[in-house]
Amino acid sequence: MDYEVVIGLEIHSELKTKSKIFCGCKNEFGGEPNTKCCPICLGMPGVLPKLNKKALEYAIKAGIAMNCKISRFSKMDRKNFFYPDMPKAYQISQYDLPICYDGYVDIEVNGEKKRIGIERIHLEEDAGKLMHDPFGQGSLIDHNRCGVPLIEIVTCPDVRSAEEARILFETIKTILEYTEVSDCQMQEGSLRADVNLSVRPRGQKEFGVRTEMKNLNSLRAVQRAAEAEAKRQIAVIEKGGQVIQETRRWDDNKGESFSMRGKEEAMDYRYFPEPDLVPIVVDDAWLNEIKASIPELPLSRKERYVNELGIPPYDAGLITMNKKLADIFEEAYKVCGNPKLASNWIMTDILRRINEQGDSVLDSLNGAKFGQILLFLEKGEITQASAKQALDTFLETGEEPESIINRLGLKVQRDENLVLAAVKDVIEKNPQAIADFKAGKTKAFGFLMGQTMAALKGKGDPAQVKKILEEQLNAAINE
Amino acid sequence: MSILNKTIKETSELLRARKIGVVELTREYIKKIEKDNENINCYITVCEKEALDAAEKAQKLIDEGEASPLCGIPAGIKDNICTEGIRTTCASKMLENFIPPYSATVVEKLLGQGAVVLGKLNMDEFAMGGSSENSIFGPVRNPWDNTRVAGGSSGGSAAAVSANMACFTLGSDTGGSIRQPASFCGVVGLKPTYGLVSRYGLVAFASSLDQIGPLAKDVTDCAIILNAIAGFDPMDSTSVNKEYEDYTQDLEKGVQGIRIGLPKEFFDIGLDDDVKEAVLNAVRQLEALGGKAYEVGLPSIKHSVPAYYIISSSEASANLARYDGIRYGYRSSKARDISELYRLSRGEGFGREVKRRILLGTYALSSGYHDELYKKALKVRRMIFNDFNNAFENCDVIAAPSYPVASFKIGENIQEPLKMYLGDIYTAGVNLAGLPGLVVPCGRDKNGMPIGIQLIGKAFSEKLLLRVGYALEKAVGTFRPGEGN
Amino acid sequence: MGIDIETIKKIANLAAISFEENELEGFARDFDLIIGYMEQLSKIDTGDIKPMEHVLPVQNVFREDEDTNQNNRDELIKCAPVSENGCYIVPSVVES
Ligand SMILES: [Mg+2]
Ligand SMILES: [Zn+2]
Repeated sequence: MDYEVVIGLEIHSELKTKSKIFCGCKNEFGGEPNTKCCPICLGMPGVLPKLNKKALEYAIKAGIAMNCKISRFSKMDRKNFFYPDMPKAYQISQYDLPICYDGYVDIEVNGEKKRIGIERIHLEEDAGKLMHDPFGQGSLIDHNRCGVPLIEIVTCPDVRSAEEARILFETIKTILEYTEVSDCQMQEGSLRADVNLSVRPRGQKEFGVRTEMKNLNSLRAVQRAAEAEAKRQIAVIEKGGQVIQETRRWDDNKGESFSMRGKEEAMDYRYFPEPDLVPIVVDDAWLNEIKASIPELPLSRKERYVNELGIPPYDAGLITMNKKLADIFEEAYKVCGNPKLASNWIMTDILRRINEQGDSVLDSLNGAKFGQILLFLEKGEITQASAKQALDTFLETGEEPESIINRLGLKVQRDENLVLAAVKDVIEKNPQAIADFKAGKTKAFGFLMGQTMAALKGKGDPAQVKKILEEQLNAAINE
Repeated sequence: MSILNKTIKETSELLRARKIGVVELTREYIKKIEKDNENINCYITVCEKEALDAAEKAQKLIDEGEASPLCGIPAGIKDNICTEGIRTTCASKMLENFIPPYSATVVEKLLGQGAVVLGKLNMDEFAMGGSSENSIFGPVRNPWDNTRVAGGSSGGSAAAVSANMACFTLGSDTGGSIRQPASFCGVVGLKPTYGLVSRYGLVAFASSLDQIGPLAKDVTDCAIILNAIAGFDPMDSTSVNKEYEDYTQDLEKGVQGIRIGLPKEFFDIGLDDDVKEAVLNAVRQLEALGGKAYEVGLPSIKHSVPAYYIISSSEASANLARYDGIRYGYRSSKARDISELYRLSRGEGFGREVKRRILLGTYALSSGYHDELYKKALKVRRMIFNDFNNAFENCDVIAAPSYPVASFKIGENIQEPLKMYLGDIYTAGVNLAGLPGLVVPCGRDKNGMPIGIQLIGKAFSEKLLLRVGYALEKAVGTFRPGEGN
Repeated sequence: MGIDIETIKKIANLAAISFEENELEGFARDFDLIIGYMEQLSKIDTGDIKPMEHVLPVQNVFREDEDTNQNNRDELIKCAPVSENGCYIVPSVVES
């Protein structure tokens, strides 16, 4: 039978505020256990929370970027459950009035645009971290992450394949990076996704029984987990069995998921309004202020690059997936005046550098300086090879491009006498190549061209070298 | 007359006139506590050393002439209000050894004024109860009759003032916990408007109802203390940012033309004759001074007890969930896994009444009962709030009993939780509506036990309440145990 | 309705509180009486009255995003009944 996969994501993203959501403790990954804590985030007796305004604004910003409606009246609620790294035994979250609701994001699957609904985005606090004690019998608790502001993004079950799930996750990640509300460091757990998945015979209207896989922390894991879970569910049904509604844990090393037993009873979270925090009212002025702080988002940028700058869709998509890269592109093309030149360089040279050295390369790559190097190239004042060399030096030293080019003498050599002398020298030293050329082997021309350029230490203007070489070769043939 | 009998105002004058030093005064109080606490049991912890250090500092301030009215005044703090470095037990095994590394905002404020904290006062465990019998440190005894309760949950706070074991005290009031013991012990007690006094550092029972307030020997003292503790606190989102008021001003303005509302529902069945007579007599005294009494209606007030118990217990079930034996407090030594750590630490660390309330709240919030109980209670809360608003269209203050009877015998009601709950009928509605309530002694019952009248005001009308209370106090006098009044 | 021992056990489990077997009966009895009384609420006609979560007409109380971190781990962890190297300790929690 043919099955359809139905997927919805729940994405938790930590917000990159300076301080935690309800206290002044530092919001920063890592550090010695329990050193970024105070009586408030430890939930000690008698203390009270106070809502971080920036955290709320970041949630609203993410919501606007995902085309959500923003609740003009909202509140915080208590979600009750016991867990050792949750000190109050309730999480301050949002229940029936999430700050953002009814939105969507557009994703691109195989060149086609697809719209995925965003059911809600709500604001809540993160929990701490449990660690196994290598020496003792117990587990150790580190509360440094307790009270870090989080948004939970709940998508509609509009996703129809594991690949779409990965693309959706990546698209949302990109939006969060563009709006600068989260640093999306998945290896640090600041962005993680739960995959809710069910299957149904194609054509059936009702959803099948769904399972939930928690805390997937890479794009690859989302896709693989979804693929494996769809396969598993189909196999269960094919064997005449029934899928059980449950939470499963994905083991990315084994490539399998496991049922999380021990939750025999459904959780009863006993939500109720947080009495220690007052209602949140968002007026037009505030909303507009937040709206104005949102930059152009990836999809719109991509469309602009394709339609206005003539960049191929594939290249534009790749560049805009990474905000830093897209920002570098924007600056570089504005300085050098040639968007295609800039995008070609990014697609080849810069992507190669990222592959070799990782994303950190982008931190030392200033878009405007990069553009200056490209401008020298564009004006024919340096060669392609010199441009690469200048970029290498720039990334190493941060020196001004003009000073690099002068210091290394990278400017193109145009002195006709010097070029002529080099050409003549090459012709004299390579009688075999001349013979080959005479015999009609065009390959020989390329060889002679290379030899001449090398003699000019790479600084010759290829067009000029070619012209003079041709003239001299013709003269030689006619001799 | 002993120095210990004096009010804040009188004591402060003696301190400034150098008739007594702060250290000497503090020693007098500590001596008194050493002598009588065994009997009254109002102190859980006495911090002699800290008190004497504070006394020396206060004396310096007085010598420098910079003294506030509370400077050098010995005070007691209810043991659910956090005091840095001094254990704060909530009268519970759960927090028996808890020494907070921070102080409540009110404590900071008192210390900032130079007050001398003598110690921490006994109470019902986690402020849950109306008799101060639910304490692992044993019941508080009423200074007027040691076989009777001091009321609760701020029983220690009321008894300490009444027995001259502190010049004034702080209590907390969630459903009557300042007003009822004030009435039982014959002292003045004020539950301020919700939001007037910071809750930061008050161990939460029911966050939307809790409020810290003063217990004192007279109305003037109450006003002096309120001046010190009221006001916006950036640490408490529910504390109100409003202009400073001097509550001691206008006390003597009298009650000419003041409209006094008498809710007919409050003088119906279930009210002890002596209490009814004492309260109505007090109203007549106010009328004699120029006040005008009117009957008003609070039609929904009869539902205040169930609404109060559902809301307060629901909030408590969450507020007390943090006591899990991990970060602070009691931890069972028998636990073999995490689930047992929770269940045994909480099962062994909480007393019976606390467990009952947690279960009640858990039940009221659980799926299936959430709408029928919790949400319904919130609706009833609004009805009661509206009732008071309507009543205040026809009056300036409401006069009411504080409790259906004067103090009862220790052990008399403790086996009947529902009966205890029903006693909150005159006080709990005031918390549900967030209003201020002032209790002023106004008479005694046939057993000689004091009775206090409760004056209820509009939100933030403390000034008027204190003024009416002051007029009444001048008319009926103050009440001290062992003095034949 | 009638609260029985099973109901008490269920709620106690949700509230993470242990009870001695012999306590349960008394608790169930009291609880039955109390809940029976509280249930008068469900009979009240509240019409279109909205639930009242806050009595104060206060909204939008925030703190600014300022890092006021003070590391007093050693002082705070002193409150813990058990700790080790700056960490709080619980019996082993393993996710199956
Ligand atoms: Mg969540
Ligand atoms: Zn903190």
